[in-house]
Amino acid sequence: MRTISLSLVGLSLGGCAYEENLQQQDLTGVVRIPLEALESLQLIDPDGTPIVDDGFTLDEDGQPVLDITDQMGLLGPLYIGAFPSVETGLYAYPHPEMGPILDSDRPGDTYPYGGTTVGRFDYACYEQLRCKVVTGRYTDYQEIIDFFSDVVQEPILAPDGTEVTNASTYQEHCFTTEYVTSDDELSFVDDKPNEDVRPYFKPYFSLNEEGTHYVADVTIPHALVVDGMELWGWVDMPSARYNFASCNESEGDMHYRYTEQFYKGSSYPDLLNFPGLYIDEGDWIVDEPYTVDSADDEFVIDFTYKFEG
Amino acid sequence: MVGLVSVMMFGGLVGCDRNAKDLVPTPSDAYPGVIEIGELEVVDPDTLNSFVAKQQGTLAYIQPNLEDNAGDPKWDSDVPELDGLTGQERYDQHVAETGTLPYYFGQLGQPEDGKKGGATFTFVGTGDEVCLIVDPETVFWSQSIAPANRQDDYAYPDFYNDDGDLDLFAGMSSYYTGSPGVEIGDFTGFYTDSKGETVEIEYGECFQSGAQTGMDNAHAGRATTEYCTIDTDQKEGVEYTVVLDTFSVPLDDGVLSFGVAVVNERCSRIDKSECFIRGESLNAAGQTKTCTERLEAAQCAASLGAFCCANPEMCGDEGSVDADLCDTVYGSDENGNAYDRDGWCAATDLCCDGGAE
Repeated sequence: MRTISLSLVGLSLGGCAYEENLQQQDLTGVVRIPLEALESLQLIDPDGTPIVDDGFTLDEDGQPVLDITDQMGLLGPLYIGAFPSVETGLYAYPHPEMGPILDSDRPGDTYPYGGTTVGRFDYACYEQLRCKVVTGRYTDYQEIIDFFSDVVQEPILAPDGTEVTNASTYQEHCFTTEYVTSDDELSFVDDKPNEDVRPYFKPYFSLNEEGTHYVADVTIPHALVVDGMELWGWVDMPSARYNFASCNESEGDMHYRYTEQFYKGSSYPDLLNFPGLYIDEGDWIVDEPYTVDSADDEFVIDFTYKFEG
Repeated sequence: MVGLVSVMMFGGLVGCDRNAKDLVPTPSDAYPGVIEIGELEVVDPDTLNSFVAKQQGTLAYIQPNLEDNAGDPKWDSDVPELDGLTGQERYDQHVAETGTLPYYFGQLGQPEDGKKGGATFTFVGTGDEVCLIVDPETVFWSQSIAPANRQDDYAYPDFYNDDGDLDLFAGMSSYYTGSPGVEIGDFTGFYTDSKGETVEIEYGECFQSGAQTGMDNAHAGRATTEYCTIDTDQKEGVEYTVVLDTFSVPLDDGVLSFGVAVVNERCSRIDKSECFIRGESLNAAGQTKTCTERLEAAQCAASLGAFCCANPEMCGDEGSVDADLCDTVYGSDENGNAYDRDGWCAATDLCCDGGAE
């Protein structure tokens, strides 16, 4: 009996050392967006009057009020993918190589080997916030309330038209309409980011010590690793009216509650396959893609090219 | 204990005797498993209407026999725009003018073991949207077995041994991998990127939506029409290949009859039900099998329950039908008087024996 038990234990331990030799591996590294991405951002109100410029929110007289360089809500999702190569000449910016054009209305597919995002669109309990709230950008409800009130200058309105000013009200509305009982079930608020926890599946941005870049540790999970493949991506920055090109308000889960009926919004499913369809004016793009020679090497990728449209 | 083991072993050995071959018809020399039809015309709906003396501008339908068994026209052709020609004469004249068939009715046999069977044909892009539609024989429905709120139309079971299944695929002929009439292929291609990795690409253009959101490469089940719209924009004059892939051959005769057409309209503008391609269940002489047209007509008229009660030989096992179904299923006339079988037969002309018991 003892011999059998020892044999089983030995076999189990032997299994731990088995190398599957998968061609898919996790790639880990750092992405960096220059401070200029927010300093150069401009937002306007419905009348066309600037409300954010030169790194500050502006009052009615155009005077600077609030420094926005620490407002992570102004950074849309960052998309990063592994591609066979990145070429110039396909678009006005570097873009992954494309396969054959199968439809006259669409460019060729880039056929990425893998990819991930730093932040994704999440439904933040109010119709007004569809496609406007990204995960990993806010620690609590009050931060979202203040952001839309002070930075975007479109205060959050409840279904009855009243302004949402209190974090507890916001939380209670979420719990009621989303049928959850704790903040842990809502991805768009996170006061416990996975700091230094590898792999980085809950990435978030922070300003580096030098104050020059927004940086995030990121892991691209289970990417097909091919020698010489290149990592490339872009940041979907908000338009002048704080909209994002990579999100579709007419897709996603359906919200159905009494007289409220609408889709909660969702990212397009083929962002890495057809980046050229979604990159628009103001987005920051990788100008010099990172070439992967070994999956064990940690990458550093800078998003240095601002697409001016 | 020994006895129990013996019984289990015996049971296992009996199981070895089942090979499920009785669920698959035997290949036949008379009906090849792979056929090539040739080129079909992209036909206007009104052209189809003219063959069956149907008013121009209405929803068209097609059927294989424009004359009855005696060779007489099935329809009165006194309609002025038909120039006094019968449907068959008009059909023949049209084929002579165009050199292509406006639709096709045919039969497929069971393919050899391990080989895909089916039919292929081509059509030429018009530069506009066209609708491909195929209807395998005959009619299928799921029996309603709800203990409450029984759906009388579907309370009688289907006779599913007369049903076959074809899956529809199409794309530009240049991407087709099969050999027409010899081997069924597909529209799969491969792209090799700059790092030498190959990616499989679907070049087929015939996508059918399923019941679930995002299911855009679905296929219908047995005896049910399949259809898709192909946009030939900027591809006028380009040849397309259509594949009718045999999924199952009817067990009753080992032959899969079907009808197929390419209509010069997007699918949303034509009838895609069982009622568009009628009489596709063919016998050895190429004639529509007895009474199958009426079975289709009953489905189109939402009268399957009454039809099966009146013509039980056309439907499934009578033993699984609720005892009271056929007493109540015939409905009533406009004065509220309940129909019996004879009355229903006379009112609908859907009885195979003309109403005689």
